[in-house]
Amino acid sequence: MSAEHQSGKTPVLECRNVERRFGGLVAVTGVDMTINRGEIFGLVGPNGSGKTTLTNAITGFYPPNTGQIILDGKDITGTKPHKVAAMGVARTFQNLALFNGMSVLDNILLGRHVHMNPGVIRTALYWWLARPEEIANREVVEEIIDFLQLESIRNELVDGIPIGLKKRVELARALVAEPHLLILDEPMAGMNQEEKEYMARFILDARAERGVSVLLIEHHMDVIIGICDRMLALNYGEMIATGVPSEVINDPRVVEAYIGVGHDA
Amino acid sequence: MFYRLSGVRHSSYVSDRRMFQVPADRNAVIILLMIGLAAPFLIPSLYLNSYVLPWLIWTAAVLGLNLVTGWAGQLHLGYAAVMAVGAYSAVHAARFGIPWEFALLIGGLSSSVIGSLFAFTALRVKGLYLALTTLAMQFVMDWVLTHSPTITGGSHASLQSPPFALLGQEITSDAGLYYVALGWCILVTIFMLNLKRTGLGRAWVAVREKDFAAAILGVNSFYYKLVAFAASSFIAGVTGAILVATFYFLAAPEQFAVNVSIQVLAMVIIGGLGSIIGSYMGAALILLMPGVVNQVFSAFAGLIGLELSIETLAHIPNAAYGALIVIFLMVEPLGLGKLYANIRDYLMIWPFDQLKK
Amino acid sequence: MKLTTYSRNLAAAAVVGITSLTPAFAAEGTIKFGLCYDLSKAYTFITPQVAQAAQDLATLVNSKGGIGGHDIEVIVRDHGNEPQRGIECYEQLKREGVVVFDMLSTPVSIAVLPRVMKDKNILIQSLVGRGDAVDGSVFTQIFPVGPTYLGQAANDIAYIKEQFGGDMAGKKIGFAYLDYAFGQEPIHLLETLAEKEGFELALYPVPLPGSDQASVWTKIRRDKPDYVMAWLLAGGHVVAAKEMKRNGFPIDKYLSVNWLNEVDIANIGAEAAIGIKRGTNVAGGQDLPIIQKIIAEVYGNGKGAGPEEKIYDVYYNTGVGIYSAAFEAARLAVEQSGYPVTPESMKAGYESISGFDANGLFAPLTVTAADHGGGGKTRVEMWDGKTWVPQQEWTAAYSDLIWELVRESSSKFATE
Ligand SMILES: Nc1ncnc2c1ncn2[C@@H]1O[C@H](COP(=O)(O)OP(=O)(O)OP(=O)(O)O)[C@@H](O)[C@H]1O
Ligand SMILES: [Mg+2]
Repeated sequence: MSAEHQSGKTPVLECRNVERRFGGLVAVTGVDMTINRGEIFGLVGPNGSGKTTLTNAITGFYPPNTGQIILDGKDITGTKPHKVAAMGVARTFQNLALFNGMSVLDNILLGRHVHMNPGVIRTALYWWLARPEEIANREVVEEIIDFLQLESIRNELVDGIPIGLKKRVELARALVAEPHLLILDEPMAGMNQEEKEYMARFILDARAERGVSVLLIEHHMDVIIGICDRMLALNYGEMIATGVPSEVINDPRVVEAYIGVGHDA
Repeated sequence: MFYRLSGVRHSSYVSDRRMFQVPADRNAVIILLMIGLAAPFLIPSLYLNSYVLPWLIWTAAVLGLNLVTGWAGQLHLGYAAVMAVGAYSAVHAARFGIPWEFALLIGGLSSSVIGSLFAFTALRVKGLYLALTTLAMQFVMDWVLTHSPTITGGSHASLQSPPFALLGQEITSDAGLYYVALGWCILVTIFMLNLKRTGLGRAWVAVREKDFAAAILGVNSFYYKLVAFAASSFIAGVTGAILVATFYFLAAPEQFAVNVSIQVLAMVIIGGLGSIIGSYMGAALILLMPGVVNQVFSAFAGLIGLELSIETLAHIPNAAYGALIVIFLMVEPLGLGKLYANIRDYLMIWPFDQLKK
Repeated sequence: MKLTTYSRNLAAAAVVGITSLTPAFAAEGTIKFGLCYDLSKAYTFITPQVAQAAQDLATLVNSKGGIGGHDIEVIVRDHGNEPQRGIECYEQLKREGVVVFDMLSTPVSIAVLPRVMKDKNILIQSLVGRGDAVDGSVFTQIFPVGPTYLGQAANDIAYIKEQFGGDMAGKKIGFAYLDYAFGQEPIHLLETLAEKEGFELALYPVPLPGSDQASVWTKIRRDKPDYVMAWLLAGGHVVAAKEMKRNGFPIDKYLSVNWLNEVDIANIGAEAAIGIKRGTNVAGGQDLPIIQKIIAEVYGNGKGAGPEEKIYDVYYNTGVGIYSAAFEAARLAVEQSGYPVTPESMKAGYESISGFDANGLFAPLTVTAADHGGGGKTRVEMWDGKTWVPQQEWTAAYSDLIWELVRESSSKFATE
């Protein structure tokens, strides 16, 4: 972990006492979490512990019932997802949310939506009004395609490519948005060791080259230990430990939580 | 062999985003365009003005509906009502003395306003509920038209359209009217082709496919659905006005009744959701097939010396036509456009695929 | 060899979507009438009878040497009540040399009207289309021979007035109508007449398609009108009859627009329908010289254009009526200007029909350049359990008022 990333302690995201319930079920409660600029922050916990729910609370899909979400010093609690995206939050989904009918290129181009201004008149007068914008954004996209080594499948339909590549395409789509905060929900699920290493490399490079802060949800503890600066562990929606990975991992409550559900991380 | 992708290299993002990637497609479109332009000299006036002209106009209408249903994924059963708004506004404007260029624009904009106002309330519901709401809009419009003599032109409910004119030039010849229809259809087609390569088109597809994923990319799905309705309504409005100005020569409520909405939707579905070439094919099939089947059938009946009553002669083609639609949809549920794409894809690798065997 | 050419034609037809493959008719020298009809959708309750009547009448005329030696050719096509296909049919037949057309559908007649006017062809438009087309000074090419709905409604009121001994003061007349252009058309006239004659007019709009009349008849039971005039179509009368029975409204005080025939009577029940009245411009029943002739000479020789049952339907008489007048116009055209019949000669032929009644089939008809309706006479007939019995002489009441309204409307068209 390079020290410079931990030194600048400006928080990108703060969750204050966040609680989210579904009917009688308390999915997340009392979560306090701060992610600093340039930090890779890990979020772990057994299945059903509320990790995805916490990201949904941040991104506005399921606004918290109590507590606050602060992004870059601004309270965004309850803000609609598309507005949160416009404020510089990008994410990938645990179960993939690519547009299967579109090409890889178009999927990634959609990531640029927040930087574009599409409209009917522009489309009608494509050559004069839309093309310059399309080309400029295309250049950003090509950079990421390059970066994530997706050149060879650029024009394929997403539907037909293997799952590992899909995860990468989704990462590319999130990265082209040039977010301040990137939320990755189990980006390495179902990957083999080599693919996992690739992915970890990409995440580290993304931070190094783009200065993005990352909230990484992961079951693979080796990855967490390998690349996260700090982390937080959830169990039954509650925080059980937070701090640097080497300490959190060995916290008895974390060990118990994982052994308790028999997780094979 | 005719279609080849190999050897096509793009040296810039501009060329990579050309309308037609495959040279063969580009050539085919150029040839079709040339045929379209030469049509008045090639095609007898009967076919030109009672088949080709309405076909082009309906194709423009189908593209407009395909925009909101095929691209943005919103089922719309009140499309003819939106066409009516444009048709009546434009004809009234033209009768008021406003030049047709502006009358058409007024038609398109009024449709757009009414269509979006409507969508603004209707979009609070989704799927089948939205379909039903749009259908309700159609019924409201039917009712308004049959109960407002001032809009529809007196107790006979027919409103004459002043002679069509562009740039102060009256257009009355078959060829002139045909070019108007062709021009509009080409404009709409170009717009739809542009959708395939702009953020607007991508945003609509995103909203259609996964609205939560669209949201996290910053796409405001309500807004884009609204824009889809507005754009589609604009196309519907101008198309309705052109239909009246160049084909019907007067506006009457039956021209925009609920069965017309269903018919346009059928054209979209038969052609294929989101398919441009399919829109052309769907319009052709639904619009022209009844006549063709009729002709072929009576010719066939005459050939084998079948003596049938005129009623039977009228009903059997209807059944045959219905069966044809079912067969097409069974062969390719994604529509004629997909059927065409399959054949094209096959030709793209033929004859090299034979070598693999 | 023959077959190959034929099938090649067929293939070509399939490709282009159109064919001029016409069965071998009496070749050159026919007088063509183009009947683009709705044989498959909304108007099927009347089109088969009218088409058959036109063909039978043509057969009869042709068997007697046709018109000035030329056979009449009746071409029937289906347009399914779709304006688009009606226009298609018009454009196609136009190119096959047809100059006289008949669409027998309001939407399609309205749709082809601008083309007919522009091409200066002739459109037969009896009982359908815009009613003000009787004004020949504006609608020069349109011949809606017969009454307008306005004329018919006025005549109905005249009949009812007769029943009350000439005084309608304090009476209440109900008007049950299908709530769209067809049913709404007479309302303005009826309101004017109510004021003039001092009766009270009660309006009963029936929502399309006319099968739901429960609330209308509950209201009628409460209001107790002295007569109900009904601008409904076919099945609508059957529903009305059921409701009348349930609500205790006497069926003999029910006066229908001309769209009520033996099929509807059968559905109501021939006995139950006794006393029901309808306004008409053609005599009902078969006890008419022209119908008898068709039965004897056309069907007697096995040359009928369809099943003989169809003759026993007042809509068949309607068809014979329309085409007696049309063929008479063509006869006059050939007599005056020779063959071939052109739109101009056909128009002149129509406009010189004078006092023609097709042997008692309809009221003596006089078409002029100003009045393309031919006088607009109708009468009320009553169903007696077996046939239609005339209740009065042919009349055309309130003509001045009708023409005032017609001109008011047609003048708007003229200035467009
Ligand atoms: N939309 C919802 N409606 C009802 N309950 C929900 C909803 N979303 C999540 N939950 C519940 O909230 C709890 C937390 O779920 P969540 O998906 O956040 O867990 P997770 O930590 O992401 O688990 P995993 O490791 O399996 O992804 C679970 O019990 C889940 O069933
Ligand atoms: Mg999860």
